[in-house]
Amino acid sequence: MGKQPDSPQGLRRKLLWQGAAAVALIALRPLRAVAELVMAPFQATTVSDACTQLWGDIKPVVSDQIQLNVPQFAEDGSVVPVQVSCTLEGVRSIAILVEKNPVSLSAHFLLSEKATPYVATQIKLSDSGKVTAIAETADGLFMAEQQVQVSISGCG
Amino acid sequence: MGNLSGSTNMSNIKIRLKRKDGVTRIRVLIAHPMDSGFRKDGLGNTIAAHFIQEVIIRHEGEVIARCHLNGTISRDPYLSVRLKGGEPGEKIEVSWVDNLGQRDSNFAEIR
Repeated sequence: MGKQPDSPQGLRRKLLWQGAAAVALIALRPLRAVAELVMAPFQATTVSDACTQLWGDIKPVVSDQIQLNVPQFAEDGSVVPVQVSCTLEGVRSIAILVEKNPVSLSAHFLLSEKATPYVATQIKLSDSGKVTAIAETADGLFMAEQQVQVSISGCG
Repeated sequence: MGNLSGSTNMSNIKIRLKRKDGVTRIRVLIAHPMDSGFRKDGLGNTIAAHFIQEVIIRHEGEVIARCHLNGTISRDPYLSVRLKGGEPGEKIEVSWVDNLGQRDSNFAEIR
């Protein structure tokens, strides 16, 4: 193909390949950047590392304006219901973090102004330990924690 | 079922909506293995990671919530958020994408 750059077919092929490569580059680059940005906090193996990845130097403070509903005793660690609700104003996001899982951040909910500050889901817990909910507002980070006893591991 | 409404088609996303006290409660159930990549099968081989990375919930085309998840969310994930307001006939849309690039979406109408 490369030996006959002057033949019409060779040139057409070359242009076609170059075009395809350019399109692939343009299409893939922003996607990959976004994916990396989103995924980085999900690689953190400690709660504090995950917080730093998400919010930098801002430290969460314990608040009774955020309610974390999670059972104290979870028989099956593979399905543990978690419910977070806040009486805070202007909650931008809510994160659920687990102390003893291989990766600490389980879920990060980015909420628009159309959403009330409430989220619920079901998570896996690999061992007994703390579950943390953090709500992000313009005024900072607010946190609630709950110790959960796990009978059967949910294996992360 | 009164004011309970939801999706009816055969998508693997089930959406249940309920209006109460000026808020629309949105409950989503998605059929997905949510393999974390940490588990091993009976022969000791690691089961490859396969989990939903993002679920987007929209109301009439506008994003209500972007949920970033990983494999520590339970199999067949359940998610719930609440919309301020919401009127009968308006659409709630749910779409997801997983770490292998698979995606799906579904919608339901508020009743």
